[in-house]
Amino acid sequence: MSTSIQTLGSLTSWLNTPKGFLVTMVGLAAVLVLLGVFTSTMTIAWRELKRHFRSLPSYLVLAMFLLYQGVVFFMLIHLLNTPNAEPSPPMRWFFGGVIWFYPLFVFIVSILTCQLLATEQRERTIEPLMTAPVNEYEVVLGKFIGTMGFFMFMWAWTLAYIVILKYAGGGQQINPGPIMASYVGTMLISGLGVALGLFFSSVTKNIILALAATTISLFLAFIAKLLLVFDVVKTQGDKPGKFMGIVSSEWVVKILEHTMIIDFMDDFSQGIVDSRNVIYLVSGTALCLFAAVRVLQLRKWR
Amino acid sequence: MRNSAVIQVDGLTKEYPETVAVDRISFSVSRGEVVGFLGPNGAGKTTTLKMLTCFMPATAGSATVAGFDIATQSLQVRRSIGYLPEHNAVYDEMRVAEYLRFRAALKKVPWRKRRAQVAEAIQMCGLNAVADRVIGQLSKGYRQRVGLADTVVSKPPVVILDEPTSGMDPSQIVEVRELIRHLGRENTVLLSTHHLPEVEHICDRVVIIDQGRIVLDATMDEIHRSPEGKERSLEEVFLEVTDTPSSFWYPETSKSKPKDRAAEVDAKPDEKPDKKPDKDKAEEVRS
Repeated sequence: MSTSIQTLGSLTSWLNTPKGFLVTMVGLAAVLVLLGVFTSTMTIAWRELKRHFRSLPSYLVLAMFLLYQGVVFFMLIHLLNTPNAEPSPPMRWFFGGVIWFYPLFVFIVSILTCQLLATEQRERTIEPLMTAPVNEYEVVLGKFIGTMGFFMFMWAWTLAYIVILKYAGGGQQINPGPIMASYVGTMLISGLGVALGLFFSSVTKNIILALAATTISLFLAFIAKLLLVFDVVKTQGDKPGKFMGIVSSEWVVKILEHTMIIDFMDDFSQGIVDSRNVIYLVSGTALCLFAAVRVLQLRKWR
Repeated sequence: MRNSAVIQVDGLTKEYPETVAVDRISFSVSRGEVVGFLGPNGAGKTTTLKMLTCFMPATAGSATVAGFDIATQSLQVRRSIGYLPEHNAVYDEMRVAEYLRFRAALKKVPWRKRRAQVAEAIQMCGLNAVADRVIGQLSKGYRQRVGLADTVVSKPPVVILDEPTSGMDPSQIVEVRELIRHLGRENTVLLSTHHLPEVEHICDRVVIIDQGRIVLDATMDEIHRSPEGKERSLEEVFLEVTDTPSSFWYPETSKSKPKDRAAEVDAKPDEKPDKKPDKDKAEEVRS
């Protein structure tokens, strides 16, 4: 009994090393690829991923993203190199300063997701799709995984910054833990956004409507965060949080503060993977995907 | 119920808030038969086919396809059919062979057989020349053939085609006709179309539906020989049993005899669908 616990303990500590983490990720990817031979979900996901690499909006998003992240990284390094700057790991600021990335994130998510199911319904390709032997949940999950694949591809380019820091950083020590936590957090938050966009894309066959709905709902979170920041500035951090007097109820303020996905990146970038945040993001994603499946099934009750 | 009935429809009904699209229809298709499913626009053909392929549920009644119930065994039904929808919709950004491989995978064709079956479908539908082209760049006729290849790629026992020849030129229509006849040797084919000569050439039996009800269910021999022993064409029978008044299409000849009317139809065969705007609209709303 005790040996098994020890083995388990050493296994978890091995998983926490960068090597273990990489091996796990590669293993997971291999399992997914193997499943691709057998399941409809992965067939659809693969097709969706390929579609992203053949569509102009996806390339525009990719270019916009890389340009923006490049500028941010450059400016970060520049700032941290000024003589009176405190020594601090650049990647922590790269991921922690997410509030300035968030508006771009909103557009990226809505542009990448608005087509997923809306186009299928407008072009009626949903008809051959749903008369093949597949379930609604396989379709929704496949499209979700495919789009997440594109997100991973997009973010994978930022790994170059770590390489740059390692070889051009003047021998500065790089702590892999917070960086891995940051990538996990980024993917979880992107997952929530993609699932939300997928849901809006399932309710309408109008791409513009899906785009607008996703943009607006994700942007509301940004506005709430801005109000919160302004509040703190106005009261000098003394009695923060009433959303500039818009929200009066005490517990609504509490809920809003705890569900602020923008703040989650603060924790992740310091290497804190808080189970509350993870559960919140994962369950939110699952809820949106479930809603999208239900909307697709609605066709059967008309 | 005969044992060999591959498609068995019993009192299938589809109601919408304002209209009844399909009204208690019943018919059956035996193994190896090629059945033409005819009717004017908005008669309920597409609705019926959508119910048979489990795309939409029936309001009442039941049907079995390949021995599986469409309401309770949807996955098994969809596994055993190949369906070409009315507006043949294919993914524009994919290449022809790639699309067919994708569809074969979705239809659970075993991994080992996929390549061979895709190649066979490409060969069968004359897509060899365009197998590596992007579907979005193909002509309408070729896109339709891609749809047809998709319906046969999993070698289903039942093939359901909704207007397979729409948008094709005469030589392509002849090719598709040959293809369907070829399919009919091994498979059961249910074919919905406006194109009557096609039906006369390839179908063993005809089911005519009008305003949601079946008005005729007869073999080609029965149609060509009226009860009085007179020779008649499918066109005459079609116009006779469907309820649409001839004045709707040709107001100026509304008082002429049926014989003359048939001649008129021969002269301008293309104008039939165009001259019924209201029914067209109704169909659009439904689908």
